Amino acid sequence: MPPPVRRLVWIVVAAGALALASPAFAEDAGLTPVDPKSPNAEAINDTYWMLVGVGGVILLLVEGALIAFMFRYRRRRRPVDDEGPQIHGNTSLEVLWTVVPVLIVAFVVGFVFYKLPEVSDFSEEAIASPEDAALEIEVAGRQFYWEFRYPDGSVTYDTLVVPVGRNVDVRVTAPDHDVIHSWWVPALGGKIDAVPGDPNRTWFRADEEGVYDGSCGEFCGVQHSAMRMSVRAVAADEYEAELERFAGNGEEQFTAACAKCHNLEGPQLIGPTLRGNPTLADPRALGELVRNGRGAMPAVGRGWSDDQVRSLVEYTQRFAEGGG
Amino acid sequence: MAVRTEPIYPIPWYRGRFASWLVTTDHKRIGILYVATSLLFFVLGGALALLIRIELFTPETADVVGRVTFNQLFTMHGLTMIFLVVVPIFAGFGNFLIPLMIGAADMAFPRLNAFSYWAFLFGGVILYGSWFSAGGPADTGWYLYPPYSAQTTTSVDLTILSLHLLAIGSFAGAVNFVATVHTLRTAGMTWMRMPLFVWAIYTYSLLLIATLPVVGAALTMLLLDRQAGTHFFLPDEGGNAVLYQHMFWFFGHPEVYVMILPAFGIVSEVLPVFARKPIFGYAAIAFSTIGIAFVSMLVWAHHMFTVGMPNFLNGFFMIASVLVAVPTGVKIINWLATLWRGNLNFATPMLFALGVISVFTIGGISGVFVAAFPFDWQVHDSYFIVAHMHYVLFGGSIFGIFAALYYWWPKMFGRMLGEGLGKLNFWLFFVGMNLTFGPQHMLGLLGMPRRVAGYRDEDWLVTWNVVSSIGSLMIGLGVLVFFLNVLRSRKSRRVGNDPWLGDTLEWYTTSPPPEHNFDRLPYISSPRPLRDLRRRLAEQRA
Repeated sequence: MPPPVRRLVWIVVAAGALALASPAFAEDAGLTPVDPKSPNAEAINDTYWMLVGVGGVILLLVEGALIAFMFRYRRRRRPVDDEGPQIHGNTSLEVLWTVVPVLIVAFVVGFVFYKLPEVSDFSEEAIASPEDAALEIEVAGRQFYWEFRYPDGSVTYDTLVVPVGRNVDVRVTAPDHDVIHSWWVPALGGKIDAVPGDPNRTWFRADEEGVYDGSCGEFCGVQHSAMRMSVRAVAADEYEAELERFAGNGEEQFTAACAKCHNLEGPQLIGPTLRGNPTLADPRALGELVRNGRGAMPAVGRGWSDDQVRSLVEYTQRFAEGGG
Repeated sequence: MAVRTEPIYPIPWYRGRFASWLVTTDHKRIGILYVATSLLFFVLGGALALLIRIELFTPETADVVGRVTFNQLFTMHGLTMIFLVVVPIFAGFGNFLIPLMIGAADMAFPRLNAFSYWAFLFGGVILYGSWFSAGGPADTGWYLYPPYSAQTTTSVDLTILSLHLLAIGSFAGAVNFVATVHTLRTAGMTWMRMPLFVWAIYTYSLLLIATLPVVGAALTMLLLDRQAGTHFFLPDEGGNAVLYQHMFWFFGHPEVYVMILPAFGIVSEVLPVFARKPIFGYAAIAFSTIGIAFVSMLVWAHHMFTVGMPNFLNGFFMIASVLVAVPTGVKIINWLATLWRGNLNFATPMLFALGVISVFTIGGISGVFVAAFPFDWQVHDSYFIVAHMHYVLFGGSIFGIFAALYYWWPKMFGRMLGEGLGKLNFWLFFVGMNLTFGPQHMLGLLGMPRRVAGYRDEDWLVTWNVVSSIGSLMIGLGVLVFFLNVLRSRKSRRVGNDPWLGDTLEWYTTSPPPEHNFDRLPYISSPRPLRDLRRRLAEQRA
């Protein structure tokens, strides 16, 4: 390419990169983790910025040296076999660039341990605010929905309702017959796996009201992509009412546990399309089906209480006859 | 005058044009078979990746391919690229080059060597044959985690059979490399005069020997769980699902170094030749290879930071993992020092080698990010990991493989690959891979999990996915350019023994080498015997 053309190409490339980069810096474009709304997520965010600082400097040094050397020592008109100085090494330099990385690594490890208590210490003293003990939620990851059990016995599906400003002690597990899932709400801290037969624990404290999106973080089967959830953080005085709205709500239950694989009408999604299916009206048959699964259908309702089955049947009855 | 059509001497069937390839025990032919087969699987695995990226062009779930198909695509993409491309293609380069580099006539066990190749080929055929089985190929992810892998109706059994065959082939090949390096070095080829690529393949072999039996055991236990009513990994019958993960990653993480150390070896061969300088700190690079391999056996559980291990274990695996950065950093700085004050010739192999330094560094740094386990809790199993791992495996391993293809092609076939198409190939790969995998860091930080066929319809999620998909098409184009280059090279000029003015012994013989490799060999008195020869000739002439 002649030099003017080459310059033009560079300008176009640089302008394109800037055009894409400038809004990316302005908005929440993924150059930083999701805006943290819980102390543990904030501590993880701090760790991220430390890593960006250390890693960024190293990246600039290495890439800078690489580009500078490529430019400075390019062949130009020298013959191909013209040799550079035959330097085989330098022990003190090599010791230096072994020791310095060790120190950098030690700093990184030290910082991680320094921040660690803020992320993962959910012992009672650390997270239970004096006026209000932690809210303990039993989370079960199941193919392909999330089941949340509250201390008062309420159950919600795919939506966890919590009061703002209160520590939530999250007990994560999966039923023994199920597969591994992973709890992940980025704004409220990191992941913890829901392993069948091996209960895990994490925590968060939502600082602001809002709805925080989460996903299943461990591949769990055909509808892994659909295994999304959200945490609704509401003001403390609205908490009871909001929980009431979601708990035992047949529609929520149906949407979470059934509708990901079954369309109500139209083409078959994964399982058969449901409207008009007589099983929907038959509490015994439906209970049997959801508790045991059938063929490729997972046992979505194994371990459900009679109340849970009843609320689903009450809701689905309306679709049993083509109407509704 | 009548032309005789029948040969004067009857040629036995096993010397025939095709049959000779089927029965060959010549390390060079086996090496070429390995490389060619791996490149074929590279095209297949790449096509699967393109399908994945096309599906993710839009946020809708499964609008291009079905849900199960999508899960099978990423499973097969991973299995293909790891077991059928990167690991065997290094076995191919190792086969072709190790005896030439150390001055041997063949590998230590030529027939075992042929067996390794055929086990690899049949393993690959069985893996792809699973597409024609009742359930289709496995949809579990390449790691086959139970309990899901014990429940799915896709053909996990065929995958296990295939992996067993591949592992047996790899294991035999690794034993062969170790025996060859130990016993068949020519006069004067001491350990500290071996080319660094030989060091790399030697270490690759030790790692495979140490870890393949463990994954073999894990897969066998999984097979028993599926078919024989045992319950090693099945929690509803008292088994432990996490146990499998420990066994799998005890192999799976060293496997990462199996896939990157030979690429480092290639860079260490290519840089000095195209910078016209000796490698800076030969001993440091050789020992850092061994160092990385040793530490890599102590880091497996950093793939499992989210399973709920106690923090002292998380801490141990973090420290071990970030320690890998030290010998890796030593290598990168030594490579930079090799460039310093050199006479840099930007031929295609050099471009790919420099590409490794530039792109792998990004993957190495993001590796320190994800080794910091609280940060890993945030990005584990998200697209951030996909980005990190492709910067390492595409930017490291695949760039290294292409450097090797362009560098040793004339030795393998006696003809050069074209420089123009080669440079086009490099730039398509370089720009394409940064477009594809760079934005995936952002996707992960935005909360997009891996292995999903759809995502939330939000502005930046869509933008970065579209950019990533466009980048993947550029990589695909780069692969096409490479094969065009291969086709055109059949007509390119023949080369002499040493077209690049190389340093190591493989350039001493003809291109391609005769069946017995060398008529006679000089005494080796340094790691750069060919340069020694050139200098002696120049002195005689003067």
